[in-house]
This record gives sequence, structure tokens and C-alpha cells, in this order.
Amino acid sequence: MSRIRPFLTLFFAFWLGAALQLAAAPHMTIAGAAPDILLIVALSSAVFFQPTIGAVLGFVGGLLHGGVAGADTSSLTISSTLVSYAAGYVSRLDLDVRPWYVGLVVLAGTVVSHLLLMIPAPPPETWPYLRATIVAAMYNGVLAIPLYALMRRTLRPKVN
Amino acid sequence: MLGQIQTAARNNGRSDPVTLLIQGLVAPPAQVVSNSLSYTEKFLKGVRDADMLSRQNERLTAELEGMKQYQETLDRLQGQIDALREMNDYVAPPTRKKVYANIIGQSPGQNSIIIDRGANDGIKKYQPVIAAKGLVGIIEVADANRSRVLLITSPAIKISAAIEGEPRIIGIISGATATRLSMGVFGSTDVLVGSPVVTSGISEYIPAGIRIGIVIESVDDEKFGAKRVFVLPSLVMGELSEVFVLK
Repeated sequence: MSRIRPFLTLFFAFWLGAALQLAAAPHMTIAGAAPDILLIVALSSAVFFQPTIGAVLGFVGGLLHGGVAGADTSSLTISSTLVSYAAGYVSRLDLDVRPWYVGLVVLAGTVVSHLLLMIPAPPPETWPYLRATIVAAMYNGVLAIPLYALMRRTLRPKVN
Repeated sequence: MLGQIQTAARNNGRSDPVTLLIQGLVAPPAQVVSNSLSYTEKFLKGVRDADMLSRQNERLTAELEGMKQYQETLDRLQGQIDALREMNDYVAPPTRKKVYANIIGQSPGQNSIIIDRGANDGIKKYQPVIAAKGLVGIIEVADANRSRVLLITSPAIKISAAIEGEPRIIGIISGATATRLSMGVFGSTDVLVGSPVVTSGISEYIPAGIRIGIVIESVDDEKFGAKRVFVLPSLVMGELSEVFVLK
């Protein structure tokens, strides 16, 4: 039961995240930026695990995002995998992770992820894209705080 | 590899299996979320717009009431126009002239009305007063600028009338009740119910052919060897507003 609980939690988080990404995210735009819910889930869960597991979570998040959006899965998967792998290093730090730390991790991860996405598909106008990236990163960071607080109740006692 | 599968599927005009699988798994909860959001948005919009909708409702209700009143006025005016047209269609005898008048007073108890034309307009006693649907009555009193009209529903009135048909039956008609006239005729000629009754023309003032009503009942009066015919007036006195006097 103790082994399957984190797995079920993650499965449910990604499944619900994908549904919200598909149905709710377009309605949640602020200043033209919509939240990247699957990236929030991937990064918020990656901080509980080692970088390799974080990379797997990022891969799943990117794959789901590409799938629900019907977009190019490769670039989304690669960027999400890389930033989630990096987020996994948080678990190696000898500190008491607070929810707002995770908010900052998600903010930074979103910025890096979006910058990575610029490489295979450069946007037609760079500055508006960067501005939207910053707004989306702040948005994601704020949303990650309550999500992390929720996930910590089921994931934290079982890891470390 | 996934990218290659995806590209190959797109080149064939299809979605790749992974995308199909993900969308199949995500679609049901996404539908629930989408419906919930839609209902929530509608609910919030309703709350946000409640005040505006309430004011709009009040305004539309007032507009509807105004439209109803406008329509009632329109119908009433249309009725007056129709009545005036019918009155205008009446061709007066060559020696007579029509003097149009408005009804300015009614005395149902005395079976009379007051019109706004009088002796100054050439109105005299006994001249007939006519509306679109037939004879209204005769002038009883003609003052300078107004006249009193004795209605055909008055028992005091006596007018020579004719029941149209073969043969034409002539008699004297007078009021019986507010909705019934009584006509005495001599002889035992059968009178058909529904026959029109008009003025006979046997009068110095009232020309022939002005509609009075229709026969609704015929009773033999054996004591006097006469027949009593009851007539429904063509006019409903309470609905009159414009008339003309044949001077």
C-alpha cells in the first residue's frame, strides 16, 4: 500500500492535470498567458524525487501535454524532461522545502522550458513571447504553491 | 522516435496512437471539467448581470405595456376610421346635407345623447341622426351649438319603417328596451326572422333606406288584428362616437 500510494497520487495528479490542461487552462488566461498545468504537476512532483525520476515525471508531463494539445510532442517532452530533471536536485539539498520554494522552482522551470521551446520553433515576435513567458511563469509559480502543499501530504513521508 | 511516429501519422492525415490514447483517457474528465466551468461561468454571469437584467426586465415590461396601450389606441382609431368611412359612403339625397358631429354626452336612462352641433349648423328638430351602421335617432332639441338626440331605443320615438322583402311591409317602429325595438304592422303577412328593417321614407325628415336593424321575432296580436315585430337594432348605442345629421 505504501509503495502504490505515491504512484496512484501521481497518476491521479497527471490525469486530472491533463483534463484541466485541456478544459480549464484556456479559461484561466491572465494578461494573455494561460497556466501550463502539466508542467506545474511535473515540476511540483519532481522536487520529491531524485533527478532521474524527476526526468521521468517531466517526460510524462510533456507527453501528456503534447497529447492533449495535439501539438509537437517531441519538443514539449524534451523541454519538460530537462527542467524536471533539474528540479529533482531540490530533493538532494539539505533544507526544509517550503511551498514557496517550489513556487520559485516552478517559476524558473517554466522560464527555462519556454526558452528551450524557442529553439526548435522560434516565435514570430520574440518580445511578446518573452513577456507572455514571464507572466505564465509567475502564474505557474503561484499555482504550484497550493499544489505542492497538497502533494506533500501523500508524497513526502514516503520519500527521502 | 515518438516524433517520427507523430510526423508519419500526421503525414497520413491521422493522429498518432499515443495522442489518441492520451486524448481518450483525458477526454471524460475534461468533459466534466468543461461542463462544470461552463455552468460556473453561466452562474457567475447571471449573478454579475442580475442587476442589469432586472433593470432590462423592468424596461421591457414598461415597453410592453406601452405597446399594448398603443395597440389598443390603434385599434380604437382604426375602428373610428372604418366607421367614418362607412358614414362617408352613405349617399345623402340631393336635397339633404350631412353635418358631422361628435357625441359629447349620453343619458341612457332617458334614451338620449348630446351632440356638438346645433341650430347654428342648420340642425332642426326631427332631423335624423345617423351612424355608420344605421339610424341613431332624431333631433329632439336643437340649441345653438348642441342638440339632444332621442334614440331609436326610446319608447317615445315613432318612426315609419319597412321590413324589406316580398312584399315590403311598412309599420311604425319605436323603442322597447335598450336592445330591442318594437314594430307594429297591419295584416297577417308572414314576416321572416332575419329580414332587414330600414326607414320607409314616409316622413318629411327621414329619407328611405337607412338601416335600423333585423327582425328577431314576430308575434300575432289577434285582438287588434295586427302583428307585432321585434327588431334588434344595428347599433350598439354605448359604442357610438361619431354621427352625422341629415339636414
